[in-house]
Amino acid sequence: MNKMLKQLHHQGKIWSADQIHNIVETIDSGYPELNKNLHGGLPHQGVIEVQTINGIGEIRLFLPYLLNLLQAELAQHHQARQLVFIAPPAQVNALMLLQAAIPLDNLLIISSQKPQESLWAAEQCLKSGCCFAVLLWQQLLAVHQVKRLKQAATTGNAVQIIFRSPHSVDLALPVSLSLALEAQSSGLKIKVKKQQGGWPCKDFTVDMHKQWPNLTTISDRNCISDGVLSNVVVPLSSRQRFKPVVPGSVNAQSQLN
Amino acid sequence: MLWLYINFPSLQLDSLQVSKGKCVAGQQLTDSQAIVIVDEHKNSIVQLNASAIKQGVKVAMGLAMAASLADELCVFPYKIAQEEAYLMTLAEQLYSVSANIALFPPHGLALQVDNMLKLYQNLEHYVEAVHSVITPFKLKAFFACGYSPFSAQVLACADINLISSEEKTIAAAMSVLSVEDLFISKKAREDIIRLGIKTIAQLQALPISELATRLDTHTMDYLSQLNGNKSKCLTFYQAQHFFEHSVDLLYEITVSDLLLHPIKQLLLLLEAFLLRRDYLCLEIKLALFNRAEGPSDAIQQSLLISSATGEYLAKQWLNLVSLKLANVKLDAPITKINLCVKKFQPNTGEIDDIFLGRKGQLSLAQLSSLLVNKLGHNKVLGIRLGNDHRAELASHYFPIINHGAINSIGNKSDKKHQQSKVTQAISHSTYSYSTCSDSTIDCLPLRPSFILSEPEPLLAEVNILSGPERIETAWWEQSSLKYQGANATVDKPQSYPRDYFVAKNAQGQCCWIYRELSNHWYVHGYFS
Repeated sequence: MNKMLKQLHHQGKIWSADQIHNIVETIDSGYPELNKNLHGGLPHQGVIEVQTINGIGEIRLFLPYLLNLLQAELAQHHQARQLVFIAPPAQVNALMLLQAAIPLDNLLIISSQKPQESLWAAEQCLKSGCCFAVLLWQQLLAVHQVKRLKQAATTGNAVQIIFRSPHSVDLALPVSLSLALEAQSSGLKIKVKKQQGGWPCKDFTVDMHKQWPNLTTISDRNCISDGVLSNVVVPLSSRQRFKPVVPGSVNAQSQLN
Repeated sequence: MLWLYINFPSLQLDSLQVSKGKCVAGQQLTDSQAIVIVDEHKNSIVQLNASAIKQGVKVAMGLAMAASLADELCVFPYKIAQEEAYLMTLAEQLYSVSANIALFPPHGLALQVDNMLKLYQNLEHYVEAVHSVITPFKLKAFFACGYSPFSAQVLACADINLISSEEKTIAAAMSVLSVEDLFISKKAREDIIRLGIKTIAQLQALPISELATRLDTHTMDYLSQLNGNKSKCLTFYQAQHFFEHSVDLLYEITVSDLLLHPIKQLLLLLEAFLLRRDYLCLEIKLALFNRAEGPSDAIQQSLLISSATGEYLAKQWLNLVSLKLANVKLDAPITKINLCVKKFQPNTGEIDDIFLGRKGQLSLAQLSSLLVNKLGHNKVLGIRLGNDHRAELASHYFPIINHGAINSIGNKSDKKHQQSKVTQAISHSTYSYSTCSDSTIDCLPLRPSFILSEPEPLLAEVNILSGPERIETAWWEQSSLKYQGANATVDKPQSYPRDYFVAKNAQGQCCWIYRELSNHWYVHGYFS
């Protein structure tokens, strides 16, 4: 038995809890809630999977983080590497990027239509060492593809963020971090589906009102659980029946009490 | 003056076999395959390989005879142009070791030796340098020295290898040759033989005035040049300012992967060419010729491969070519490949910071040329601000590697706008991040991260968060639209003014919607 354990440990198949601190190097995400739940921030390199519908603030969630990466590079090397958008769902707007203080010279956009091409381009960009982050919109992913991206990201010291629609086929992908996003009036509700070197945590809400006052309402603790459901007209009696289904609401109320 | 003449008796055959050696060996042809090259006009064999000789085929034999002697004979027509082109390639390579190269097409070269001896000390060193250039081509060659290019030619063409600067040795070698080996007209040769003269020694023993009465002036000219008494103007090789080379394939290639081997040869030649001149090139043009059916030698496919940084290394170019070839479908088997490069730039050298080093394997320019060659010019884009307040024109993409021809085909919609804007945008692009201080960033209006190329009608119910913000047309365009009248309607002008709102729909998506004056609502973008 002991021999077997040793062998497994040698093969790297056993993860021991004391490895937690040196596994993932993180950087400030710009949102205190996110930093708190993800042990200091988002990973410095690796593959991040984001399950979300488009247009609820998924890019806004990562903008401060990308900017932090960029500035860290500037501080260290006096020159920044590229940020790459691969197969974005619509035309990227330069004004938004300027607003986020991301210089346009550091952008590369690849408008490929075929998923295979997108993956190839992502791997090349990561591997090249001249891109610090690659944002990829891709629906289907296989385990070996993610592994290759991860390997490439390590080679080029870059981060790969993959945006997928929610409820995509849920394989156990070897990503560093997997998040599922849901829209809220004050920001985003985040479910951490997987976190390398971290314990599972409860769903939490990221307040984006400070950064984006025009797009969000001031967070109100009472309506944390609302979000999507508030837009659906549901009779009062049946609404009560809904409540236990949403775990966040129960927590919020218990916290208030 | 001492000359070295190099004769390549089977230049076409050898050049074909070089390409075979590098190709994956023996698809259809093995080493034991008999190959002959036939002069179509005379119907006689002019060049043949060792295995053909073994089977009894001889030079000047008819094709029918040869075919009856050897089974599975591989026959190629003799192409003088192909030999001459290859001769130029050789001259180009030799030019690096020798200054004056006189061309004797189709398959001979004469190098002027005496003025090179100052550099090489003695003849042996010089010949060694010449050998080192010729050997990689694996050609059958005869080297002969002579005190005139024509005497050296006579020796080399008589299949004699003679490296010597001593007049006596050369004269002795010459004297045993028969008059048949001289390059004179058939009639003059017969005249000389009728005089009872068989060897060159006998011919040279006669006084010139005696011969002049019997032979025509052309022959007399030649004989005096042979003796080195008179010099004729020779055509010397001059280095070219562009690179163009072809490879003829021994057999047809249908798989694009196999094409890489002959292409690599061409790229190595290009590398040597560029390295010698300290040049880089940004673009190479590969032409693939297919089997000459229909219009002979029509270019089958032409590939343009570009690199953002200038490259000279064959390895880098081969990488780009293989990416390009992966996307190319060969319509017919390829028999010939041509590589042509006309534009160069001096190699200024890349400046890398010694302390920062280079992190990855590639520079940005190398990465973008990699992407462009695989995905196409219109798919790898940069982004910049447009000089316009309307959202669809305020930011636009531009190809990272600017490529004139592709660019004009470019975007389908808004083409007219784009083209007029591009020139403005170039001057305007300085208003990017560098001039944007923090205060100006705060002043920028709230704009969505994604703009839909075609606004979609708003169908779902939304909650408006902020607005309205009115955006008007640019008056100058409105007047130009009016001026163009009917034509403008074809272009489907966007209707302005519009009132923009930020709104949230049932799924929680932040949309950028607008209302036209006609009260139609559209979604124009998303705040992702």
